[in-house]
Amino acid sequence: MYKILLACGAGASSGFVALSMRKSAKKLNIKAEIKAVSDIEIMNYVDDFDILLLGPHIKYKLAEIEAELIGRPVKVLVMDKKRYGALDGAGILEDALAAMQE
Amino acid sequence: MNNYMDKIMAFVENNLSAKLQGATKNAYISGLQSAVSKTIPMIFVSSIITIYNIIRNFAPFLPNLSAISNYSFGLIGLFMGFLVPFYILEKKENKNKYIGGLTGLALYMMTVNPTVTDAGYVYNFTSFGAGGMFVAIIAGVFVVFVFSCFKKFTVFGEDSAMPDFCKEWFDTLLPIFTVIFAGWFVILNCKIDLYSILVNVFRPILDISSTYIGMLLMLLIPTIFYTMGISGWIFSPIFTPIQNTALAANIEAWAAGQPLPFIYTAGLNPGYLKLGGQGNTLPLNYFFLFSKSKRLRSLGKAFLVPGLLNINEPIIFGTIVWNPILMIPCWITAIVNLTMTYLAMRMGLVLAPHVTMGMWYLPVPIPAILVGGIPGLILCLINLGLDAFIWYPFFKVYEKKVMAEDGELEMGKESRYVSS
Repeated sequence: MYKILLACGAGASSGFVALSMRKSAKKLNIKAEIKAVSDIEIMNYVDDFDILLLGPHIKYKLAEIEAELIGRPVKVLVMDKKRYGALDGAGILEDALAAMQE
Repeated sequence: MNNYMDKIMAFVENNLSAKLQGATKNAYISGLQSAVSKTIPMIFVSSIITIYNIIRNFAPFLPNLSAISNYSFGLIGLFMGFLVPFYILEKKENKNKYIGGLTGLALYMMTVNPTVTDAGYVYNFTSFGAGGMFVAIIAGVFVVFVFSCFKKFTVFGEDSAMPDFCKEWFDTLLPIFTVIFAGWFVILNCKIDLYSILVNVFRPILDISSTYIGMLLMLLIPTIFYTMGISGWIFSPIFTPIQNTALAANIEAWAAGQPLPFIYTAGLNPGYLKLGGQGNTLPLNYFFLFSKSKRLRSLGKAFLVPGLLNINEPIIFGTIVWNPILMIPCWITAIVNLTMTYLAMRMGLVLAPHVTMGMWYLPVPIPAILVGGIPGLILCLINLGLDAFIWYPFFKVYEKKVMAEDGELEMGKESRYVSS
């Protein structure tokens, strides 16, 4: 099962993206646990997940978050601007799965 | 034009974003942001009571639940006394964050400066509220400073015969004692009213933030950033304490029958200044829904549910970011809404917020009704109308561009819509 954690400012917009991703995962018959939180809550959840997806509008936090995650196996990926804006759950899921295979 | 845009975009992403990265990486700023965000659920609880009180206006037999507001929003200063040192220490990876938090709480209780009577200690309850947020921040930073100094210092060395848990007791004993001793000395011994002094030091910030220019900058700068793809949440450690402290002052003035001192408070943004989200994208979303462009119609549908909840990252990132045609109306509507709101409040037509309303995701115009009643509703609708008026020409230019891209501007297709 793929465990994907999304984070944005309040966990609100990423919540909608997570919803779209869950629908997509269900359609593609992929077992995934997808959760959206505020970027402030990342450290409380990150150990239970395989990959962390950041909203493009908090891209400037990438270095800070990567520093906090040193030594942990979780991968970090900034979500694509266009896909995030379009609430393209299928596209973002695809990006996440690809990143997890690397 | 595109080349110019790309150059600006590259500059922002490389220089501005890098500086922001540096700022948010700072343990004090990052910790403060976390601390402030943890007070939000308490603000929500108090906001529920605000809504309840409106219902109670029509049904006076319902019980008075304002105590629930007092023991949630009314304790924010106290909570921050714990949260500020706790989260900053956490960001600094200091194991003593819980003890630091408790010490911060103790220091805050001292700054609140109770009167000692024969009956016991008498506390001014309002000192525990948001009015003390800045005091809590200063106290918390002091606690972190002391604990960080002592981090490098241990009473007993590595080779000492003392068991580890004993060493740890002594190692935390020193910073706690230092903080509380300092508090005792300054506040209780020298009788310096630190609470009032700090409140007065920060008062000019609140005053400036309620001026036209102050409010304009605080609204416009994050909006510009947002249309460049940078979240406005980085400003929250500065703005949220200012907004909540000002709100607490307004609430206190209202209860005492005094004139409201501040315009810029929590609740103002969702009420009148960020209709559909930062950038006032609600009218644009509406235009998308009824657009001639197939693409925009389907985007409009996708953006609608979040948009109604004032969550507009989708429409911002989907169509607005780095698109000057749609960036500019975001800025103009921000200026217009602010100007209308400022004028209405300075002229006394609409009252500044004097109740808690932290639920920024309630659909427009509900927040306006909650913070401003009927006058607030009217102001909100006027702002919304002006925003729609501003958005329309820019929307039409964008629509034409999209339809041209999608090949929908051929004579055949367009004429199908001309008659409707």
